Amino acid sequence: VKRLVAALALAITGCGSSSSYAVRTGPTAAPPTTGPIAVYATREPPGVEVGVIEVKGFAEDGAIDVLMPEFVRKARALGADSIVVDHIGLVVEEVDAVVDDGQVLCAPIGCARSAPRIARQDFAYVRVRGRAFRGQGAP
Amino acid sequence: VKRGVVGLGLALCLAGCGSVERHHFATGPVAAPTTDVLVTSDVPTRSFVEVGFVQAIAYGSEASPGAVTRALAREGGGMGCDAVVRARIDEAPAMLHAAGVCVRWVQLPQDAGPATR
Repeated sequence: VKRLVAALALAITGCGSSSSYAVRTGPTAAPPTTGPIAVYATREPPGVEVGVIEVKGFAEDGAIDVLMPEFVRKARALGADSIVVDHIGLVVEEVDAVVDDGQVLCAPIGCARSAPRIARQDFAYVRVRGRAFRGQGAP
Repeated sequence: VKRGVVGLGLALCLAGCGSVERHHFATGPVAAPTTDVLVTSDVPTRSFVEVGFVQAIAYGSEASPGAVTRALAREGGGMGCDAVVRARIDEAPAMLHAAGVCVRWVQLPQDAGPATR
């Protein structure tokens, strides 16, 4: 019951995390973009590809209105003026998780803690992948 | 008494414990809400303009393809879209995730294009 309450408390008070990366793929570096970014989802933008971007988030940070602003920030840092979103989806990975911290066992000669129990568990997060472009991207 | 309360909670949860979250990210101008929204995994051949992205995440007893499809349509309708295209549904234990591109039909092919963000 304590664990259930703890999980519910975490869910109510907010529990999430996100991460992102951008890799430059273009021939030259460009200064960060300050103008508008054209967003494409169903066709290729004009211009030259300058990088690939991935953002991912777990729980409340997996919301699209959390992930996409971060995606656009990454594109601006690459000097892009347009982006194409290739993929928005859920990714499920198996991870090692501590399911039991271990127990303290006591005897007349002293106490000892048993080893924590680790089990493989499914971990689901939302991932947005795409590419950044520069040149003739802005309408 | 405590066991009874926990048992009742679990029973209620099993009977109908679920939720559907809806989210969107606008990349173009949002229009007046629409009610008849097509949801498809394809990219239609007719001309359209992209309005943004919509997302639905369903948990527990609400985690069904029908529920997330309806949620995508509702969120798209709220943005004034005529369709949610390139929709896809992914499954994880006790949850379903759906996302798609919210679009509005246009009359002329050359009118179609991305918005800026």
